[in-house]
Amino acid sequence: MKVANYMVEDVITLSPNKSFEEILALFRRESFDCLPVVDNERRLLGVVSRTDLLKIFVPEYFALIDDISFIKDFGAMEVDHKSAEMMERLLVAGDIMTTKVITITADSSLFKAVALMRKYNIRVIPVVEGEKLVGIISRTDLMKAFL
Amino acid sequence: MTLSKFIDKSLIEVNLASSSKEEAISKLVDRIDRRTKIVDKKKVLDELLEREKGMSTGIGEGVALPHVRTSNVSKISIALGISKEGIEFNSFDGKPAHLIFLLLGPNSDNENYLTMMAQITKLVCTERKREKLLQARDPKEVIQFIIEMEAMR
Repeated sequence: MKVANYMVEDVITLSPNKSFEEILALFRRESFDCLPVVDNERRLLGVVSRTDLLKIFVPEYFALIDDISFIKDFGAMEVDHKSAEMMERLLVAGDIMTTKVITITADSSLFKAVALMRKYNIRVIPVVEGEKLVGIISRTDLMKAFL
Repeated sequence: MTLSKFIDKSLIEVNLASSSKEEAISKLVDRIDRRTKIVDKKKVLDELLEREKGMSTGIGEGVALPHVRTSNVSKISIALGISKEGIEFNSFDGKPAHLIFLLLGPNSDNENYLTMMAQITKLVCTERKREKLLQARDPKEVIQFIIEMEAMR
């Protein structure tokens, strides 16, 4: 069972200059977990995930808090509205994307995809040939293959 | 991670004299290069200007934040130029930019890069804060103000 037989080849991608507003619209409209960012020659530059988008508006010290049950009022943690507006105007896909991307090749076994998803707790893996994006394989695709 | 850890007096120009945004960006890149050597300064400048072509980083209210992630720096680098006259930046609201923060980040680090961007926007998100920065007479006053704001968070 090879990745090539179950991957989706017709993938929606982002250019590095895609604005934050356009990215948000795409994520709102569709149920993607993440979208690959590619250059003009379809070289994979990174991925933008829903988590990446949310992180922008969550204070950095939040990650240091193990137990949030004692917090009664989150108001003080909300990013200033004006500041958030400025951030939205500034950001493009190239600013937000994660560049350390776990990838797989089309001739890999599906079991390798399963192992990578479990190990790195990810739902989608870009499929590459060299540096170029040729598709993606998701948990949904794996379920179709195994169930 | 705080902004004050990445900006020192040598990275601040309180009387930035530039006739264009390209010149302003170039001067701020020079400042960073003198402080922390940039691998390929021209490439970084090209990357910043290319980014401006796609979408201006003039975010309005007299603020611009040209920025790029690049393989030509190994750590977050920030410079600030203050222009009393203002520089045309094709800003969102059509107003000239008086506070120009230039941010460079390594390709490998999007978290700290976004954190710095958020800290800069928080620093300039009210008129009172922007006025305070504009009135700074020297880089030392700017640094003091940044540290005061960080202590209030």
